[in-house]
Amino acid sequence: MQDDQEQPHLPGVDASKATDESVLRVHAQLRRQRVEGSPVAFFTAVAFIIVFVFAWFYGRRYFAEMDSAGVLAEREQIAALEAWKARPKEPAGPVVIDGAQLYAQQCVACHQASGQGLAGAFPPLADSEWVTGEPELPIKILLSGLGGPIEVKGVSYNGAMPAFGAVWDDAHIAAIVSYIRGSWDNGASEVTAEQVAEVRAAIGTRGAWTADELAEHF
Amino acid sequence: MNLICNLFSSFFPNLESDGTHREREQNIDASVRFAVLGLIKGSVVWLLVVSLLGLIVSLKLHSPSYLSEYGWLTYGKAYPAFWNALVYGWLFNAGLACVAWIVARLGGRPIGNGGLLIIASGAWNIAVIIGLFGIFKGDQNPYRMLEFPVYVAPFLFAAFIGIGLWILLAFKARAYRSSFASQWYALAGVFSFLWIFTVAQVMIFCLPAQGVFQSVVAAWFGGNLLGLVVAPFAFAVIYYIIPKVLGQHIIGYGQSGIAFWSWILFASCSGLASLVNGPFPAWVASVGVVASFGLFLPLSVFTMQFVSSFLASFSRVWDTISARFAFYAVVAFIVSTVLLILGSLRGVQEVTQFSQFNDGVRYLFLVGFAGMAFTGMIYYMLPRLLNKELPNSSLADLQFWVQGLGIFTITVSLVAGGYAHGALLNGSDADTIAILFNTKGYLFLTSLGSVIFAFGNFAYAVSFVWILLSPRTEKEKSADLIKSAPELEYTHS
Amino acid sequence: MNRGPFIFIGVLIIVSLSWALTLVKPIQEAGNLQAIGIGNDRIPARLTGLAEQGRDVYQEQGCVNCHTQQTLALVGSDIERGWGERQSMPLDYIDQSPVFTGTNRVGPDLANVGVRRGEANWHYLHFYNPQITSAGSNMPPFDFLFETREIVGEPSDRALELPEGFRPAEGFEVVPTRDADALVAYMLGLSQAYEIEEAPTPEKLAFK
Repeated sequence: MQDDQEQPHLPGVDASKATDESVLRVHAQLRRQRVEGSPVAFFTAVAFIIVFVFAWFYGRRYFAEMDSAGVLAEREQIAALEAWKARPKEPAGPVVIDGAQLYAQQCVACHQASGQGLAGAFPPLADSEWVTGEPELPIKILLSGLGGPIEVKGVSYNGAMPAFGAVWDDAHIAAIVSYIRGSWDNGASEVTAEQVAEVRAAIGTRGAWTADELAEHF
Repeated sequence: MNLICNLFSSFFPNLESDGTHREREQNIDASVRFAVLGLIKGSVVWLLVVSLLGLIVSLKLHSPSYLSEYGWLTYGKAYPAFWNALVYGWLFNAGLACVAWIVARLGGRPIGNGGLLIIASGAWNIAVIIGLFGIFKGDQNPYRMLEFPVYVAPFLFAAFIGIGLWILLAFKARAYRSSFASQWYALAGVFSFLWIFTVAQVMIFCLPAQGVFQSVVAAWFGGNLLGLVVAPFAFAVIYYIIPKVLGQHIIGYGQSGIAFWSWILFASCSGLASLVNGPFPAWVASVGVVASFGLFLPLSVFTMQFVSSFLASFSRVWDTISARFAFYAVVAFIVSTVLLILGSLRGVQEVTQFSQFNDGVRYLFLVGFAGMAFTGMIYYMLPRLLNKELPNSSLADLQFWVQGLGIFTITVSLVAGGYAHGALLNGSDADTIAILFNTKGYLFLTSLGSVIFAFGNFAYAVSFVWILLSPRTEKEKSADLIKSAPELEYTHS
Repeated sequence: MNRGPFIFIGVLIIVSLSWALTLVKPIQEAGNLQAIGIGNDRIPARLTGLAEQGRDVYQEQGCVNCHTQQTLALVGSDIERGWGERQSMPLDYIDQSPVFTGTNRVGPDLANVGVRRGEANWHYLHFYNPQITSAGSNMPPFDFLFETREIVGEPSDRALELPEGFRPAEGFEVVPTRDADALVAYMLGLSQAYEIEEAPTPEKLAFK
């Protein structure tokens, strides 16, 4: 053992205080020898228990489900999200059916966007007495169609208006009738799905109307 | 007792035929001198680069217009360049130098294959340089500690295989069948790096995992790089320095097996804790939190072993430069691991998750713990490799205090500033600019710390170049400076 | 513990266990998510053209070192700050490689920046010099993504309208380069503003 007194403060060379072989040998000996009641072993055991207890409680709280697709760790949060997903869906609000859109899809080819129809082929809807008069009239035509000669605004036509009663429900019929009655300065009243339902019930299932059959409405 | 002694004689063959202890040591040192000195030189150069980059990074954070005319040196590039130069440049060079030397010394025989180590470490440094240029050029990857461009990875990998193979061969060629904790950690670090680097490269870049799982792999890799590569090298150094420099066996050494395996086990998942609350599988982050907390077990063993061994011969710690660095490293290790454990808990991460808090903990772990341990070891190795005295030990003394103060300042400012930043972000409706204004003091403090640390590193570089270049004195030319070491005393404790 | 192979195998087993449990298992289970829907209704929304190229600029410039791209709904104040409406989910990132989830928030989260800052001009000015739009910010100027050039003939209609104090010399104009265009397009495209049923929000988590 070198004398500590001879060591200068911060020498130019740090002295070796042990040979490499003795480092290996002594520590190999230390590993083999069991020390009874070593404080280090005791504290190691304590640390092990602390880690184990932490892992246990943490696991109970956060390893709720090893769901690799989920970003939630806590049981309450997972339960809340599940409850939210299973929530009673609010009843769908009144569906607003856009009559203009229906018109653009189904009617515009014949009656035209301007509602003027095509001279000699398809009668106009704008300012037409067949549209602006009693609301039952256009409802009936839409539900069952119309065939044969017809005079609109003093001009005669002969065509076949298809029936839409089987294609559209009452709300759709009401929307389209309301649209044509309200557009092109027609200014007639809107109709409701209930009115359509009444008419539908009254006429039942039938073929296309003729103009004469509808004459009662004038 | 006789039985034990007989048993041990077979573990420890008589090497007297190879000359005295000191002659054998000299042969070993000579066999690794060139390669290890090369690694040390590399580490010092990298440390200077790191000081410069660290200074730039910290200045840019509060003065964004500083050097802003250089498009290749924006904060977004300097920051990853800093961390990668720090780890792959400085710490890997220094750590591998220490570990290579320790494995050679504990093996008891001169090591061949010097060429392999020289070529591999040269290749490693070239790969790191290319990687840094890649970052500056704009080829960086957005994953922490994997920022080096993809094309550098094969070279890094191949170079590390060379270095690792050398260490493995050196271990295999040892004269003694018994092994010491330093050797376990050296091997563990080498094996782990090859494994985790392969996993990260393959799962992120070669056969990329889908979306966020790339971030999961990156978090796994980042934690493991610290815990399974850098830290084991530093443990190897501390386990070696304590008996060698203090003449004190490791108290409680019987527990080092537990410490070793539990450290590997828990550190291998602890990086995942940073994923909590993000768009990642929650249970993976929880594994990370539990694993981080599990580090408490090896931490308490290490603390008991190291601190009680240091305290048992504390008077010598302040007289010996390498033991002093190692002591700083141990304190930094304890503090940073405690902060790591606390910082992984969900309640704390709520505040600190995206703040500089984590950078501060990482900095203390890498620089305060690993960096200081390697520096101490290098101060122990240099006189032995060069047969020269430190020409100016007060410079090394100054370096210790200045570096120590710098690391302390940076850590405090990052940790406290990060916590303040996170608390303001969560607890107030101040916008990010107002928060920045409120935490600017910490950013200035980081810059101050970086300046101090850079001064310390400069002192280190001067000290290193001085011992490297100073002409040998008569005494150094004529005789062996190192006195033959006494046997380690085995005292029953 | 005296033999190398013992340590090698021990370390290999432990690290492999960690790898298999924490990486392979979750990737097997949830690493193959499919987008929901197609076309404009696709979740997650796709980045296109220039915005996709902006990702490369984002990566080159290392934006990820200061900005995360993940909104947290479980903790923190991301939602109150308007950084997002809901928790970011793995599904949001399935088209991205690499992902920019990030780990640092020196600046604000960017997962929904396209929703919160929908105006291209703001981004151009902000990248040219953040002090124009966010005085006091510590974001560096990215003026090297712009070209300051002499006005020849008519000024370019792409030239930035810079406020007093940031203008180039008389007779010069600042026009964005393609990188700046790509980056701004990327910023405008960054959005997670679509509903994912599993994505937690404060309301969902408070649901009883």
